[in-house]
Amino acid sequence: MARAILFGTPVSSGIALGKVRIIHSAGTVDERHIQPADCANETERLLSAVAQVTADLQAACDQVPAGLSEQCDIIHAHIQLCQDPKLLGAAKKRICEQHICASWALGQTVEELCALFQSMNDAYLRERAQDIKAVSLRLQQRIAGTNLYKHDTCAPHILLAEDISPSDVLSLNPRVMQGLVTMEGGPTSHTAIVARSLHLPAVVGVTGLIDAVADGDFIIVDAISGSIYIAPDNDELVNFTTRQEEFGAWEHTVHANAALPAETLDGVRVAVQANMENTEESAAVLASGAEGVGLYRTEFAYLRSRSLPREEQLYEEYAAIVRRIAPQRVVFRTLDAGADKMLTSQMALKEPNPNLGLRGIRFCLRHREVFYPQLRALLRVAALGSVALMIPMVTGLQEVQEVRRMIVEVSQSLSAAGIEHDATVPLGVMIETPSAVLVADSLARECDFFSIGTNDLLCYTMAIDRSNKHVAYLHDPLHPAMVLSLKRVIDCAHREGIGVSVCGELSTDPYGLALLIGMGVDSVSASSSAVPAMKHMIRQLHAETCTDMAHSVLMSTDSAASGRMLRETLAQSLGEELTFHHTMLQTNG
Amino acid sequence: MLDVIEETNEGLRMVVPVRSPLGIHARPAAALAREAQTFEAAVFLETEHGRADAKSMLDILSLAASTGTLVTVVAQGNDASSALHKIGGMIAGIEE
Repeated sequence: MARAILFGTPVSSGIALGKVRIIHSAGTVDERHIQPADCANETERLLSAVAQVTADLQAACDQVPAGLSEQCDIIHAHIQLCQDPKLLGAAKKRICEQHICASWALGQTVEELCALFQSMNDAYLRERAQDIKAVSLRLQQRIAGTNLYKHDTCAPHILLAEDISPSDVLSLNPRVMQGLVTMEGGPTSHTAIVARSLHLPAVVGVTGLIDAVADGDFIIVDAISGSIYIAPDNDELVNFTTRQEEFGAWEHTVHANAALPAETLDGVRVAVQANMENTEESAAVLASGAEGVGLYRTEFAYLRSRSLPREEQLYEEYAAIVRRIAPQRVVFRTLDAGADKMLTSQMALKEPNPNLGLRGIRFCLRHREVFYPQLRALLRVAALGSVALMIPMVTGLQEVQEVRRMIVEVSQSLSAAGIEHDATVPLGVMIETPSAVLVADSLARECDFFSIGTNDLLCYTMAIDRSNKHVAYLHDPLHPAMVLSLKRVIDCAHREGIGVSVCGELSTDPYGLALLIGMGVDSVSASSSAVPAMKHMIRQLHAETCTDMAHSVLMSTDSAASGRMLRETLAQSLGEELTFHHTMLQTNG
Repeated sequence: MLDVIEETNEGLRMVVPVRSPLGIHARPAAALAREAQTFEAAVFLETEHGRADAKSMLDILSLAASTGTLVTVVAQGNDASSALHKIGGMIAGIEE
């Protein structure tokens, strides 16, 4: 094992030093023909694997920390899958009729079942193929006798895998797990979510990982920068042990101070809010010190259900959130279906390029039968507490005026029915298209606030598809076009006396956050897990320094130079604090 | 609605509506199968999409029973009556 450093995407902050344990996926399935006489033995191997996996999963379920009951339900469903009579029946039949070994029989059966599920019209059922595969993988590992999930006697370790499912993560003992590294997966993968909930340092998408290490090797996982040090030397060991302690202490302070307001050293107050997408997150949002919800994504109810949710159901969901977050405000983004989040009725359109298609407000204005119930639910909920609405994918004034007209219409029908509501609810627009940036002055006169969606705005401004690796180099938030757009939107809003919030990834980046504050953004909204650290950083910034930085960045025609300038200035004013934040900006170029 | 039980030569039958807005998705399907397995009787669910063995979660899922679907529960065997009530009641009671 040679000394090496590999890189990936950090998804759950922290530092881990320890010995590696590798979980191999059973990539090479045993494909063996058997003697007819061995059928009974082979069937027995299958059934005993089922019994073992059931026990493993049950043990995993017992270990699930309180508050993750949904994870437990998923595991229970996996238990049912592994005992499923249809699955086992078909596998047994293959063993006895085709005279093949248990693992191979299982593999063929699963392939057939997955093909069946994947061919279904229903997106929900298509995804269930993943569950079937995950369960079958465990069965095959048990049949092969590789007892990968035994953890009771295991010493502390860092887990390495190609990919890992949530039930895998939870079946491992969190008390002996120091960190998690995978080759596959992205920031929104299940691995990432579970790792964060268990506070495990985790890095995903580390290519070349499995080939570079062996079981028992010592590695350092720096899940702040996303680097993996294989066979570290003494200096690295000493440095990272210290850094691990410092990071622990820093994290402790950050969380202990989560409830303090985010005010810069020179007295500029920035509201830090949380993004949310379902009611289950409310506890985390409240604990994070977030000052309300800056972006409530309403797609969940639509995507989880096979039929469209009814007004009452939406009202109940929204009312629960508003009551929970009160007295703070909840900003609801109206249905933003399309692109990566498609409704069944949209899939029927078969758009060749859904990112540029009927998504966001375009879809809602075309399919008013879908939009009306949501508007009704939202206006009703506005009467319960502090609520605001914002419209996604706006390109011009007409869309806002049309929504205003619909609000009047809905309000009249609610009044006629004697239902309590509030039609004066603040209405804002998401600024995420270049056209909205160019007409920001007229939009600002027509609405009550702006919220900049930096992820989409960057993609549409640079004309890049985020999933396309070949143009990833253009994903540069410091590009002069992006910086000028941000500045224009913020200035247009302030000229009309309305507030601007930023609810994209840029606000969780230390450089991005400083830049946005320098440009005068009023509030930022991000995942609740990022909120305490953002507030902590703001409390150590000088708004004046940020303004100077923003000026230099705005004057610059070279984003690499902007990055260097940001890094030097921030390193000077924040010192060590800066090293605890993860950045996606290339500031060393 | 739950007490309309029909006796046929195929066993006992009862029709129940799916009320859950999400339909019978993975978690309730798992719970149904687990419950059905505790009965000796053979239990089936029928919809316009076909017939499923209630003891198989995969089979139940492949019915893709969405909200509003009418499911006919069929039970044959010794404890058919209690199986019918239990499974029928569970389908009607799925809430999430």
